[in-house]
Amino acid sequence: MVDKFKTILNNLEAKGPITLLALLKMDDILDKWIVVFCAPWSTEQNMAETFEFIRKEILKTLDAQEVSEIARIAIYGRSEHLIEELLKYQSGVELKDQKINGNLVHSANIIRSNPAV
Amino acid sequence: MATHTDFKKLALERLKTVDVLMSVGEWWVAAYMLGFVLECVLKAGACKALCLEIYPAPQTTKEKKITSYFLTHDFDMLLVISGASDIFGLSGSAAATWSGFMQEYQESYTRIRYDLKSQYDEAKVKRIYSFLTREPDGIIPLMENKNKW
Repeated sequence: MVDKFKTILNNLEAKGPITLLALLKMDDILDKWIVVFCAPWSTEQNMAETFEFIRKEILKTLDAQEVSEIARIAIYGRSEHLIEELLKYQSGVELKDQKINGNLVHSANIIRSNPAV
Repeated sequence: MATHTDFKKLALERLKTVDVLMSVGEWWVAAYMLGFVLECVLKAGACKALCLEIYPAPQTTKEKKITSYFLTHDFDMLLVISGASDIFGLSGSAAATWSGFMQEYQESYTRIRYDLKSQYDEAKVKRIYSFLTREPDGIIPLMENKNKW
């Protein structure tokens, strides 16, 4: 899954630089991922378009089983506290049972972390 | 515990409560109540999808698996039993609506009750409200149009 998200990252970065792309598991019962995304070119006005762009790349790259392991895509602005917290970690970092933004994250993969963007 | 009709009625009644709360700028409580509305919508959906006369209650089951699936405030779990994953899952036609609503609740909505400092302002609550109610792709209109609740 993480390797495939590196491919997805490359395709997404074709549109422009990405501040953060991360996979988070926060659910106590269902073992599903939340895709967290932040980019300077993603705004509130084009959020639906950005969502569809990310979703299409995911559906194109992952198989049906892997897609079913993703609960949703969360697109945030740079000022969102969760984004600030996740940007403390570098690209490639894998986290287990960390408290982030006040919530227990069971598992996290930071695919891209670029605070300078 | 409640029936399908009870949950549907509760959802629509509490949505009216949300309107009142929003009209007086009670954004924090409105955000909490919007979470409750979605919980009722999904539980009504579960009653319909699974042909449940009465939604399972704590006193009616000791089976932990039943408890974790039904007696929860977890939206992702409730989505599974509501039978609406085909609409709101990532491959579904309204994945954006579900994700948009959910991303405003980074923790369980029930924990909002204990927040001393509100994370919910007017823009955020109006966004949540829109994802839940807007025609034609809000969660409630879709549940209605697809005969899911």
